[in-house]
Amino acid sequence: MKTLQYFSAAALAAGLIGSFAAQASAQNANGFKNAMQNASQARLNYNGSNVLRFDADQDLTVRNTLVSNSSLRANSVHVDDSLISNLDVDQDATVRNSVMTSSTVSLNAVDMTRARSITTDIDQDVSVRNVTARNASVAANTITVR
Amino acid sequence: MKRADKVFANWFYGTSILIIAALVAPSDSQAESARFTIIDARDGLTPDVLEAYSEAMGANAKTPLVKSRIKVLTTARHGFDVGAIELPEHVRHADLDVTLMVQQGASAPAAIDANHLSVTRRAPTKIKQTTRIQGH
Repeated sequence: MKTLQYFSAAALAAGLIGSFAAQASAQNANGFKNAMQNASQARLNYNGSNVLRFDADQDLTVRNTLVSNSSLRANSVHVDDSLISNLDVDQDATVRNSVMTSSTVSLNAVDMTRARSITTDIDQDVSVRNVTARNASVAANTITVR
Repeated sequence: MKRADKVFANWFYGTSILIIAALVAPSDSQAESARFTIIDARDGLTPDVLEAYSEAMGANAKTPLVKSRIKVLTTARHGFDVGAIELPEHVRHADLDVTLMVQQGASAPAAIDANHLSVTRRAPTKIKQTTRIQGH
C-alpha cells in the first residue's frame, strides 16, 4: 500500500504532484489500453422531493488515451423523479490525441426521467481533435427527457 | 479615574476585542480553501485507497462546502473503478477536481469510474466536477 497522506498546504501538494508527474513521465509510456466508464457523473434521485435550485458544472479533459473494446461515459447528469425550480447544467468535454476502437463513447449527457423543472438551462460543449475512431460509436451533447 | 479615561478604556477594550475576533475568525478565502489529496493506486483498489478517495470526495464531510483537489496515479491494468460516492445530506456545494494519471501497464483493460456522485433526498444546490484523464 502506497497511499500517501493528505496535505492541506497547497505548496507542499504542488511539489509532490510535480514529483509524481516526473515519475510518471519517466515510464516513457506513450499509450495504454483502458476501459473507462462514468468518468464524471452526478446522479440525483430525490425520491419525489422538491428542490429550489440545482447547478451542475462538469468539465472533462482526456489526453493521450487509447480506448479499446470498452466504453467511455463522461459528463452525465441524471435527474430522477424530482421537481426543480431552476435547473442549470453546464458540460464541457475536450478530447485530444486519443484513439477509440470498438468502443462506445458518450460525452455530455443530460437525462431527466420523471423530472420537471420550471426553468431549465443546459449548456453543452464538445471539442474533439486529433482523434482516431474505428468501429466506435460516439454520442455527444445529448438531452433526454422522459 | 476620570471620565475621559473611562471612555478611552472602554474604547480600547472594545476595539481590542474586535481586532482579536477579526484575526481569529477565518476569512472567506480560508473557509473555502481546497483540500489536496494525492493517491497512489498503482497497486490497485486497496481498502486504504478506497477510504482515502471517498474521504477526499466528501463522503464524511462535516461542512456544507466540499472543495477538493484529487490526484490519482494508477495503471491501465488496475484502472480506477471506484463507483458512486454518496454525499451527506448537509452538503450544499461540492467542488471536485479529479485528475487520473494512468501509466501504461499490462494489456488487461480495467474500468475507470471516478468523480461519480450519488445524491438522494436533499441534494446540493451546486455541483462542480472537473475530471482529467491523462495517459503517460
